[in-house]
Amino acid sequence: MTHAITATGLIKRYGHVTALDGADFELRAGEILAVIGDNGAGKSTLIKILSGAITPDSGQLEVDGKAAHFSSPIDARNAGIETIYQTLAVAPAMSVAENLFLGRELRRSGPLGAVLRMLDKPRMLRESALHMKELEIGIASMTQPVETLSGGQRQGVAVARGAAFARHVVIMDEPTAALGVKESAMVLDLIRRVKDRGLAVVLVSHNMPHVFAVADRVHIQRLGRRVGLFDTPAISMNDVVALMTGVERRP
Amino acid sequence: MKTLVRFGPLIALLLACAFFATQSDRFLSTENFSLILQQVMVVGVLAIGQTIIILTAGVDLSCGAVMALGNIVMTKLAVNSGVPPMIAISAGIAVTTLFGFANGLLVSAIKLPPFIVTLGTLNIAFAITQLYSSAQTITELPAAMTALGASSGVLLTLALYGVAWFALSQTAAGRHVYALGNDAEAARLAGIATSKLLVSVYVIAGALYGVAALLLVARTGVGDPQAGQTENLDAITAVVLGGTSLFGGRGTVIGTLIGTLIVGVFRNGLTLMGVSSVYQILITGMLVILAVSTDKLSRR
Amino acid sequence: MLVQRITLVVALVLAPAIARAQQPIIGLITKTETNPFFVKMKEGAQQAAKENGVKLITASGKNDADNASQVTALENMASAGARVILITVDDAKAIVPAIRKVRAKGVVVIALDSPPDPIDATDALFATDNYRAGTLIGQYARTALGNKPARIATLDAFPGHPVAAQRHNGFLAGFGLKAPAKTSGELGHPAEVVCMADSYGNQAKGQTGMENCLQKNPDINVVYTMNEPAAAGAHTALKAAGKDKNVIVLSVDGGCQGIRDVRAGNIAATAQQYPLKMAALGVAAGAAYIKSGKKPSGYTDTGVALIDSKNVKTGLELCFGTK
Repeated sequence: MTHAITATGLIKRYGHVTALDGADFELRAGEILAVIGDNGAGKSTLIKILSGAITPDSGQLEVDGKAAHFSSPIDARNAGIETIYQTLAVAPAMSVAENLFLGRELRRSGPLGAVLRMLDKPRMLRESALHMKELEIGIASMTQPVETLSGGQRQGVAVARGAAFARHVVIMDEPTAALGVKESAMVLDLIRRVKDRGLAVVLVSHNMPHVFAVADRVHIQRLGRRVGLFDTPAISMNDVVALMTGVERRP
Repeated sequence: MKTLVRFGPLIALLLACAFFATQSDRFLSTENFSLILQQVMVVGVLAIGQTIIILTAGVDLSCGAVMALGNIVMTKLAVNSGVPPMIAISAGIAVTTLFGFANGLLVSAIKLPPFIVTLGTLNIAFAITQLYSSAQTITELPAAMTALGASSGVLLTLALYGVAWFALSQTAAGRHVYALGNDAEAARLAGIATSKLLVSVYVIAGALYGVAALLLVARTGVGDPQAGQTENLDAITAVVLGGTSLFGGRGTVIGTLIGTLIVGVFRNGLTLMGVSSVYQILITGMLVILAVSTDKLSRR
Repeated sequence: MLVQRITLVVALVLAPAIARAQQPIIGLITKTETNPFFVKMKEGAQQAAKENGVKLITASGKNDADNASQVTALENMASAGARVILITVDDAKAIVPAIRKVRAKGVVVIALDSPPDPIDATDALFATDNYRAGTLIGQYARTALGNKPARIATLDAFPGHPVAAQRHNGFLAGFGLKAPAKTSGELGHPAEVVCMADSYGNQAKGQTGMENCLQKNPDINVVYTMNEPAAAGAHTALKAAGKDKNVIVLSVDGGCQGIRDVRAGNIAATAQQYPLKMAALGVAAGAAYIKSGKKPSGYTDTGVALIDSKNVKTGLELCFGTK
């Protein structure tokens, strides 16, 4: 089975600070992998490399078994990896549909689209509605501005965008961090539905209960390296936290 | 409240027209309206450029000064250097576009605040204009330069508004301009080439200032080095009155057209009423405050 | 020996420079750098400085309302040792404290073209009598109009411009209408004035103002404009409305472009003023003070002359700007 993503020996330094010190990474196709670690463990640096936002100083990266080099987020997208940032990266004044298709807008067929480069707004509205329906995200109108939505709904828009365009992997950075109990539960359901579509999910989260609620495996990051990779049924929350904080070392 | 904001400028314009119609029987005539359109077309075209810049959460304080430079370049080349009119006009527009490019480069590559950059270009453009023209008006222009004086100039202005409307609302690039102004980071993460887009916006605006210069030359029949001094703020006023937010990402270019017309209608109407121009200045100020407040309040 | 020779040579070479450096200094501060009116003034000042054996240093504001630069210039020139400073004030009131400060240091300050407020804030004033300028063209207009009832449009500058007010009110007085006093900043508005618009002294706005006035009163037959660019704009509007032959256009200034407009018939008459004369008289008065210690005082009217189609030649000889 080809792994969706593997990385070995990733190193990234910022001046005197070493963010990644020979980190490894492995994501199986179609699984939900949680990436956890304390602040300064190198989680966000790792994720940024996978999403193409930054390039490692050294190390290997493979997507679907083939070597990959991402010099920009577009490269990662083209490789089939979509990232949902913690800030969501949505334009608040623009509509749900516009945000869904931001940067990937659909054009009308024929000369209207080719010559005048006219957008096919009706089609984008329809397809947005379809994506929302498939992921069971409860947003009434695709034309309403994103700023009028609740936190959970906004998260839904960002996730739907990632899921709609991802071919292999969706990376989610702290998707439940800003949400209340009910909306968090909605988002966790949403993550499961993304997996049901056949996409692998990298879930970065501080929230242990949420991690254990949805993740198949957990990747523990500490001091710039991976210190553990376990199936979630096979390890307890306490042990995970211990490894994360370095209280106890387990072979 | 939302509809009020969206249609506010139009309602204000219609109310103003209705009011002036009651105050003077000379207001509601095709001749008078045609005149108003001719009077606003120069600022109108400047304001299209200003709109797209303000949509990116920027501002351009140099638009009038750059236009003035354009109008001097094209007329001086034609009259003093004997350059054929079409080439002189193109040269003038090329100069204004170059200034736009400089503004865009400084804002996007060096990341300087647009307010400060354009304040600088304002002074530079003004100084070059005075030096190049020796502060003298240039007269006796070739006929080709004044062709767009009246109705053809107005038609060109309206056509440019049409093109701008289409580009901003019906094309991906136009939506990207809104995204850039609304949340630049989101736009970047969505894969939009934000630096390139920002520079293009300023370049297009610069070209439009050159067209405005041509319309000015056509309307007045001279190259005027003292032109454009109040137009810097007039263009911004038109954009704000039209409901476009100075914070970026919100507004329409049709709103700007209405904003431009509001200023022109008030000036014309108050003159017809024999009211002192001080009141025109006062009313414009009040309308701007009203427009900005309505915009802010509607987003509570 | 060699050292002595070198010193002698150096002294001889530097002597003229030293002599120049020891010349008394007179400063000239204009409103702007490039307006042909001030270019002419500066020319006149430089010529007069040479003739009077004084050194001229110059500075200007960035625009018509730039008080701050003029304050800085006053201070800098006083530090540089200027004994006399000539200034065309941008802001009649705001500049007064700075003027008083340098006068307290013993510098004689002479106002040119625009009076400060109060008028005695400077030692002396050499200026056009703008009210008189207006009166001249007002009288001309009355005569030219003959017995016809007057329908006057005025294209003024912008609210609060004192020179514009003087010209406007002078025009009304010269025309024989009720007008505010010479010192008033209010624009007179008798019934015969059927339309007033602001031109900001600018051609494009002059055109817009004239268009709107013609909409209001198509039967306007006299147009007073506060300066020649505004008049040019008025003419464009009148021509577009087919009225340029029947309407009498008046203006003030006497710039070369304006005189050419008189020659072409676009302006019926203009009141010409003499910036060169202002500067020359100012420098001469300053030099006289430096030599004799006698301070200049009072207001000297540097004159206005009416230029119409009959004496265009004179107008062109004395005009400022590109001939």
